[in-house]
Amino acid sequence: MGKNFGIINMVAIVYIAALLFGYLIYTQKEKNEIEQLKLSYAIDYASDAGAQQLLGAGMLDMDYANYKAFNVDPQQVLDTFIDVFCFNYDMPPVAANRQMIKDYIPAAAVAMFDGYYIASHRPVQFYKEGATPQEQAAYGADRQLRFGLKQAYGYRTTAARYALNMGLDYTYRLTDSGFEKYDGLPPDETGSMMTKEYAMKWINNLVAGDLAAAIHEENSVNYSWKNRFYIPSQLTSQTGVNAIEGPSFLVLVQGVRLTSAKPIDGFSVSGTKIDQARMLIGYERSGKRYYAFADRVPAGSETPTMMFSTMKEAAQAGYEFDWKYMAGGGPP
Amino acid sequence: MTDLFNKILGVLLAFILLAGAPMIIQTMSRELTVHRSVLNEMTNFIDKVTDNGRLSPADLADFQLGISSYGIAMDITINRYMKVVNPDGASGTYTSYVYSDDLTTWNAGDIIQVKVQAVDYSGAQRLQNRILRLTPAKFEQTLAGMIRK
Repeated sequence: MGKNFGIINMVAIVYIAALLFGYLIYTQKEKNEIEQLKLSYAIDYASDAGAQQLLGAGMLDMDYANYKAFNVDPQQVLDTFIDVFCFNYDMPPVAANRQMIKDYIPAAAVAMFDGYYIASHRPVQFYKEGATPQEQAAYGADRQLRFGLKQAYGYRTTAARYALNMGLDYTYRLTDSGFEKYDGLPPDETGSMMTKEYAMKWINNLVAGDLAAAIHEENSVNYSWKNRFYIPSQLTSQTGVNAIEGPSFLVLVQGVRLTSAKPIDGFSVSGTKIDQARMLIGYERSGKRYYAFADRVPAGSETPTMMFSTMKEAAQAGYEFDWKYMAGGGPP
Repeated sequence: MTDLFNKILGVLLAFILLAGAPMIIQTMSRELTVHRSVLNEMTNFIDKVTDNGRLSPADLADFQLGISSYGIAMDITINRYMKVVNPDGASGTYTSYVYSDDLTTWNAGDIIQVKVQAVDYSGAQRLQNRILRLTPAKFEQTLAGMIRK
């Protein structure tokens, strides 16, 4: 009888031991999972801010002739990303912290209207302008996260090379006879004009492929690298869904050890969607100043005196909302 | 003699397995949910402020109510870092973030940083301390976003 009780108690003790181990593992898992979630929120907020920087850039250089076109400095986008990321981990964005965050970013990409930039860790040499070779050597060099040259969305057929852009209205074509602006999209493998989806997919593939190459190269001397990383399925061409539809910012954050014992990774894509600027015009009608969207006012009916990008700007300049054109009638 | 000893031990073990285990599992899964819910409340709040560009007392009260509705008392700190861009004297610019205590009106580009700190230990943490003598840290999370408007 006593023996039987002993066996039953042994089994119970094994159960309790398993319970304790399970408890420990579970709490560890839970902590990691929360940290992973937090990292993904942090990256999303930071890349949102980066994409916002794409929009907030001082001069967008937009006009109606270039659908979806604008230019910004990609370094600003990355800087903003790093600043907001620092704040997410309660670190002031000072040089040392920023450098630490940069070390966690093996690669980033900014896809613009007519080309893209890839940031990766490149050798950088420090020296003053006009320094002698000896002085240059004294300053030394380092590997830092820097953007490379802008690369075009190239497409090649046997007859010509094309540079695509996100507007998809025209391309630039380089043939034996010279370089020209080419209306419409280049021919695809079948010889007919490529579809817009196909062109977008091509752009996606170029950016995703180059980003993957940069990540791979960055990790080529990393012993714990398993040659795999996670890019959201929207970005891979197999699903047919396009992540890059307008100017976008893509970033991989890898091996973050800020709050967790184990390094964790995260990836984020954030895009902007500016199709075209909808400008407001200001004009004077029977002694009163009004503003309306330029596309609402019939051609030749008013003489614009000012251009605004927001209603607030127009109102501040003393122009009033014009019910005649904006609502298609008088005030209700 | 050993029979009696085994019987007592058996009752003790049965108690641990029948009462202790469900309690531990319950508090663990509850804690995980609480952490996630608090993170969700934080992202909702940050999204609200970053999209609106302002923080009304009602929004703040709503957030405080949301955070404290999970059974753990939490301290909330909201920081505003104003974006300041100045010329650096070498035909470039430098950006800095200046702490500001005006939380009502925000500019585009400002950073909102929300910190949530547990005032007390949670049930699962107490249990961990009681049974295993571990000293887990109090719950603390920080998230930040940039004002869009």
